[in-house]
Amino acid sequence: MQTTLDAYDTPAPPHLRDHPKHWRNRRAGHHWRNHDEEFDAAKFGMWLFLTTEVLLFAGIFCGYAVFRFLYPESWTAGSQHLDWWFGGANTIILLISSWTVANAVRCAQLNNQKWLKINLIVTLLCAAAFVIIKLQWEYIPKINEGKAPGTFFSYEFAQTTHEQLWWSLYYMGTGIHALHVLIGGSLLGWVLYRSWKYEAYGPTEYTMVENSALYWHLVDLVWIFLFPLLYLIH
Amino acid sequence: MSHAAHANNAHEDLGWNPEDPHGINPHAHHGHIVVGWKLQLSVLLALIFLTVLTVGFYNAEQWAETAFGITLPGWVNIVGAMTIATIKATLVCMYFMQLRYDKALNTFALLFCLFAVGLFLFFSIIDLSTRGWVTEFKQGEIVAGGTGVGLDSPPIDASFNARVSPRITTAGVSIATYRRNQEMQSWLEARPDKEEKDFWKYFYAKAYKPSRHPGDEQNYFSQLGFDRDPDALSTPNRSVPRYGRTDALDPNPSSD
Amino acid sequence: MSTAELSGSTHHDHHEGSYLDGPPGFWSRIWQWATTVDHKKIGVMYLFAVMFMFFLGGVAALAVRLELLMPIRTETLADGSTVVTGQILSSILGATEMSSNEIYNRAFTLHGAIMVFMFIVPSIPASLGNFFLPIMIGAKDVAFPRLNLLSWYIYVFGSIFGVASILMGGVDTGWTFYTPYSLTTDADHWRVVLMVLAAFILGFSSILTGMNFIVTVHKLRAPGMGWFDMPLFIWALYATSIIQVLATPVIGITLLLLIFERVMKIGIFDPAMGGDPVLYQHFFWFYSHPVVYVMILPAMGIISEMLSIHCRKHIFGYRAIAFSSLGIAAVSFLVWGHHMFTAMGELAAMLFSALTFLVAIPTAIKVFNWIATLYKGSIAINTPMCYTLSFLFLFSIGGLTGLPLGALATDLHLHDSYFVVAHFHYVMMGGTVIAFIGGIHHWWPKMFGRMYNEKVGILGCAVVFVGFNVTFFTQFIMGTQGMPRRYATYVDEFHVWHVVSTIGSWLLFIGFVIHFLNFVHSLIAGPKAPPNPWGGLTLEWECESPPIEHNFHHEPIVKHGPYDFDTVVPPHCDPAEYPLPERPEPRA
Repeated sequence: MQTTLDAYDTPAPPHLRDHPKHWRNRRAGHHWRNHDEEFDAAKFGMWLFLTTEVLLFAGIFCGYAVFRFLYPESWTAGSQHLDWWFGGANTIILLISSWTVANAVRCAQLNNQKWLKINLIVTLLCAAAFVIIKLQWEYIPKINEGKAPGTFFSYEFAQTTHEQLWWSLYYMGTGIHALHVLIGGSLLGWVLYRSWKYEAYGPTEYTMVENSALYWHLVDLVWIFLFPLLYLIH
Repeated sequence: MSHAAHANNAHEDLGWNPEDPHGINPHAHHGHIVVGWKLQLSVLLALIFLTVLTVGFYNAEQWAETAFGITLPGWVNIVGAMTIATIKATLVCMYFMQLRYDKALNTFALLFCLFAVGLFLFFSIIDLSTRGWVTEFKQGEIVAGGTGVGLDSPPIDASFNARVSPRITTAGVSIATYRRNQEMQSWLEARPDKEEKDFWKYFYAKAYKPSRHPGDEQNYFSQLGFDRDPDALSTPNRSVPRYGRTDALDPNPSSD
Repeated sequence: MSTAELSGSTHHDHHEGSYLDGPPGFWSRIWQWATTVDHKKIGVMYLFAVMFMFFLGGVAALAVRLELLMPIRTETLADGSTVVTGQILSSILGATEMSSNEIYNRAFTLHGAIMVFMFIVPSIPASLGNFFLPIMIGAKDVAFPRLNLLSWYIYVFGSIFGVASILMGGVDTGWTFYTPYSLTTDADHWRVVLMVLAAFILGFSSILTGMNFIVTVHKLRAPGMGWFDMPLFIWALYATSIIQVLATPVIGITLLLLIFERVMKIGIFDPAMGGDPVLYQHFFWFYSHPVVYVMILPAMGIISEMLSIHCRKHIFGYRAIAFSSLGIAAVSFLVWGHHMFTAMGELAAMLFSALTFLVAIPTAIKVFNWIATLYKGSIAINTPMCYTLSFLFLFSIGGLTGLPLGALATDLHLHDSYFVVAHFHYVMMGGTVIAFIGGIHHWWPKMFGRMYNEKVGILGCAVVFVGFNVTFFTQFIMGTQGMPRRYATYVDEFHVWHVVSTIGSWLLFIGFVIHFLNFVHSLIAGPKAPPNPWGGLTLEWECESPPIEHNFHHEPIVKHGPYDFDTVVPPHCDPAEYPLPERPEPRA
């Protein structure tokens, strides 16, 4: 698995060598026997948290399935108002960001501080691109056309009966997902800040990188399902 | 690595290994797996390929339908898209989230959660799909766009309402009908020489986007005299896109 | 790439005094408690918080029972004018703009919402669980101490929303917030949104506690403690935590959608927009049925502990009880539909009815094993034991009356009647609250280092037991005769039963006051508790009373099971006082 390209170990800069936040100086919490167990526990805890996130989105998916069953025409019509170019572009952006964040974890494991930062920055840029595309070409034009949820629905040319429900689920689903993009972006931004300032993450201490990356992958996972459900299935 | 790996032979007198106190893992002194960059890159390329594939599948299906009138059964579309999505999700979980190299416990957590999601979807949909089997009243009549009753209930907060949350009086019609009627009224007021018939022409010209969903006039089969079944209705397993007036929104239903 | 690194206790200075010790000065003590990450302090803070909520919910319950002392009647006088009699609540409160009916609706909603979301769900896991789970598995703390503190603050934050909603005039939706009523009632006011938001926020606190416990049990057990060396209370908490983690997010999205529904009218649960109100019920009960087991499972764990220790006998069927906890957790996700039999389609209702009966199997396994444990045990009659016996009696009634409610045909007759009310009070109060109060007595010496007065405790238990049965057994009778729940008035035939039930509620109140005074007296003037007053074998009895800050002076190494009373002399105990049974000589 390991190649020579991976064998890269950044020496700590002198001013950080004794800094308590530098990864080499990090100690396990008082109730842990060692770093490994603390890391495993934190990762397991993160996975449990991810399961709660999946179940949170399950509510949206369940609503989608039920109303698609009840009002298939409205679901078809609603889906055809969405442009797969933007959805597809966002899918690829999130996939790339998922890849870079996975690379960031690898760089932390190998103490490659430079590429750790570069990968995190690319991930954050991808997150920004996702949100910008979402707002600029999806939310804002659609709301201006009146394709809004519930009683906000004022699109005059609706031909199907329950299109407002489609838009409700569209905005709730993508909105909660976008909220997760923002939360994940903030987490990764925090990681970037700490690694920039203290080189806080390295081979023995990268729990925060790993867990933020897991969160970011979950954001990607949800979108992998939301994209075909909203844009492609008719 | 510059940090020292600690051998803990000093604890032999304890009678247990402090790194593996429960004796679960005989190789407790393990290293964390580092997934190589080549593998990750090929996973990314596979994911992008699958994304292109699912979009291509969708467009091919649309093209077959509009150009030749070949309508695939509804499940093809759903099963195709969801299978590809599931493969993509599995790749992300296994390689990007490293479940493949990780402790099995984390995979179990995910599987338990997916099991709960499955139960949730399964039982909710079982109920919805069989509600009228024995006693019809349980099914309830589906009113086009909803009953509209209660939409005009008083606002939570008058100033908030004015800015954010509209309360509308739809007078018992669905919200889509209500909005369309509003549009018709203002359209006709602005054009005194026009009548309702003209509005409907305008309406379908606006409602219908030929650039993205070419309709029957571009359908090669219909030019040859074959046409799609005009009475085809959507069923729970098959959404038939409607390119035309929907009875439910028709102010003067022509049927019977 | 190994990252192993030993960080034993040698790195840290041990604070060897009691965890209750603190810096001098009132405000520095407060600051120490407010910023603590010690699971014991957080457990105690939770204990006080949930007990305050129990008091608030209890006041609401007393108000509900008080109104039902007399039926509300509109009588026509001789001169043709009408007068409304029996409006007890509005006359007490001097309310002019609200009738007694409206106050009654708000009182029972507050009772339900407070008791469910703010008291009973966090009660045992977050207070006794937080305190004892790490100690009982020999850990210094839970896996994520800071998340633990965060969960307490989230709990307080959410409760503030709930209390604010009460102060603004209360909510009359019922604790279930069923749509479409919850979308239209009090439409000109924020208080329903506030109450829903409170429940939403409290969910996060529950999730954090659950996550913490699961990881703690997996990763922090003391050396020598395998899965089947864990006390049954830990098994119960583990099963509880699985439910909390898997079910709570669904109520999160449900309540979030409900808030959007109410504020912005997005229409998913609103028939006015084509939404489906029964879908709301599916969403709601997917959480709220499993959460019933979040309430009862830890209580069952407490009972297993108390029963075994106070009759000095190895628990009968250890593995059966442990697995039945997991079994209940698994089955809990399959049965939510039995709350909606009258609304659902018949096929789904039949499936759910059949699956509902599955719950009886693991539950009965537990009860039979407990009774078998009592057999030939040396039963000590003290407060925890009295509560244990009360639990067995009341919970059996509550569980068995669940069966007619789970059967489709009888449920159509009994649903939404006082039979349902009595059933779940027998389970929730007769089960969970009784076990909780018993558990507090059982662990009181350990938590606060003081003994309570045993005679007063037994007296309080007796009053609670009698008061409880007087209050709720009458409701079974009324329910079978057709008294519907959530009504402020009733026909005259029910008058006697309602009066008896209300008197019972006062008895219950007196019982709790007796306990409260007993505890206050114990804190002020109780005799100092020995480390192991009951002769228990689980790890918490090896600590000091109260425990030191890091629980143990040295990391414990577990060498015996938690219930090996016939082979092990309890720690800190005199072997003469706890003689081991004579064993026949092994055959040559």
